Amino acid sequence: MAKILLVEDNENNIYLVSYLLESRGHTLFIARTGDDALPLAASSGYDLVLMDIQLPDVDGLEVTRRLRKLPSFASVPIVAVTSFAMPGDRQAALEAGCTGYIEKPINPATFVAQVEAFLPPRLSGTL
Amino acid sequence: MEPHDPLSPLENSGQLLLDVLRSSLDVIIATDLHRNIRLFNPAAETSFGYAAEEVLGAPVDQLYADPAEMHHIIDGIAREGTYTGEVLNRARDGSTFTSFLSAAAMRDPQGRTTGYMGVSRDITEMHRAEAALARSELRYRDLVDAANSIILRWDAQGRIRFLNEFGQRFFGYTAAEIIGQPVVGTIVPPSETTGRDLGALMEDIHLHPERYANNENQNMRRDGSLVWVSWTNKRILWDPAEGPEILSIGNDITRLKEVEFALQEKSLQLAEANSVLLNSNEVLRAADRMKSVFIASISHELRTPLNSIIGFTGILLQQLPGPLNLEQQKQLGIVRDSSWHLLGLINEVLDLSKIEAGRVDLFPEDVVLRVLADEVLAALAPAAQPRGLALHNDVPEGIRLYTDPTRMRQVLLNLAGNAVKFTEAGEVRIQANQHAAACKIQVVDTGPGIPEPDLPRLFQPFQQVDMALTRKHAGTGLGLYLTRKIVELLGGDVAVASTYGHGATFTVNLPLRTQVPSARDA
Repeated sequence: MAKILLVEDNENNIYLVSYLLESRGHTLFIARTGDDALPLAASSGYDLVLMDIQLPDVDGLEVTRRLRKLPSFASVPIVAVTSFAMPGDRQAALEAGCTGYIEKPINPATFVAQVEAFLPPRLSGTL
Repeated sequence: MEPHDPLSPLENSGQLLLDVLRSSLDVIIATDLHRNIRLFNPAAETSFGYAAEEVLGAPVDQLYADPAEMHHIIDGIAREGTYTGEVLNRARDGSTFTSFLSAAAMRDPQGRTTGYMGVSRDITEMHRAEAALARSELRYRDLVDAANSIILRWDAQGRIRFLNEFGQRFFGYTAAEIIGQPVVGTIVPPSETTGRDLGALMEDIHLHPERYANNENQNMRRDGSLVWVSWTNKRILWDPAEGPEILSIGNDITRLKEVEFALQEKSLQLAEANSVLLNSNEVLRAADRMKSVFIASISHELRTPLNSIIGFTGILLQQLPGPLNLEQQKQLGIVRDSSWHLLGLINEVLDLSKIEAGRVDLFPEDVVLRVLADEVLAALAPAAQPRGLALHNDVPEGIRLYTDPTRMRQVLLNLAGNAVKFTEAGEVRIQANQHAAACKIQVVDTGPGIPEPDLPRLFQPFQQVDMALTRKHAGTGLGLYLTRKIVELLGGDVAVASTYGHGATFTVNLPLRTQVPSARDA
């Protein structure tokens, strides 16, 4: 079971992702803007970050860059979840420091497996 | 010179006079009171053809064509003391010639008249030359007057000194009316319709005639109508007392000018129309770019709610919140399929708009074509399986491309996906061969084929050929258009060959190396 920080501004998406991951027993922490994410990130250790790229203030790429500067986030997987679907966007996300990339709309049939692939096996959830 | 002896002229006067008479080029003849010749110098001999001995003592009258003229001369001398004028002489051979004669009565020291003397010169040649000159002048005058050009002379004060008959007719003035008048205000308007100051121009022509050797300017007729005249100007100085003049020869070019102006007007209109066209072209292009940006952002917005639809439909179908009955599962399954289809549409529109806006970056890398074809066919296997379609990968191992793998996969997935979608039975095959710096990739199916008339518009947007098929297979109508656009982006082309009822073959020709444009245009 993992502690997951979800950076996402859309309430429906927050509900969708939370529901899927909490059903597996993971714990979700929500940041609705880039500015919210940084103080929240400082507080305690996370096992994974799900990062929406299109955010209302500071975009997800910039938030990722800032998180990567924190010693506590040096090795935490940060997975971009975004509806940018072009090859260049994947490249930009990886360059900003993202570990991986999940395309929106998420496929509920595969999403959990996609996310858990970034977690060590001991942290994978169970139904 | 020898010292002058004041007495010598007198002493030698007889000899001196004889020398003068002998040497004179002018005829010198003297008579007694009865007009009988007493002296006939050598020049007279030459002029009249007589030897002096023949005429000495003979009456002088015989030397005149009309003896009455002789009397007229004698009367003149009697009255005035001298006579000066032209006379008509007769030579020995009977021919006549004109002489200019100065005659006087001779007087002795006591003042008594002793006879008459005359000095004359043959002026026939001079007369002939004068007559020729006069004729020549007359001819030139005729030439000037008969010329179908305006011939004008005007002085430094801008006054007209001469205007030929043609010019008088052209401008509508008689010589009496126009000679001596200033050019400006009569035949030259103060300014042109173009705004040029013609008074200043006239002054400048006098100052720098060489600059106006050929000049066009507007002129004015007596009735005020404006005309265009092409002038040649030249400074002439005939008489220093009269000062320099400008000789101007002009031809009416009003009609020519009208045509020229009309042409200029037309060409201006053309240029204007051209710039309007260029402008609207630019506006269209800008609108096109805006449209593409708009579609891109709209597509993004459309995907956000789809995220919820697909996501929660999926959660419900997984029965995470609770169990579903069969009908609920069937209907939610339709919602799921439809939303995935809608997503496909949106993705294609997004892709197209990005390509058409020139906002696509290529990320070429080494691609083993056979591996790519395997991936594509594997992705299509679930759709092919239910109909028992055979999927073949006939791509040779050795073909390597340097191209964008994501885009290349998209192309093959589109073409092979179409083939799988439309082929009811048989097989779908991907094959390829390499030649020189290019590669030919073909997707061959055993489907229904495409009617020949539909082939040319297959790669146009929204041109899915068979409406019945469209309904059945729910295509977007953008797939092949998008495929063509991507192939072109990769530097290749795509074509189709089909016999209706006997399958279709789509052929993609690609360079082995895709050139990445150095700069994006958006």
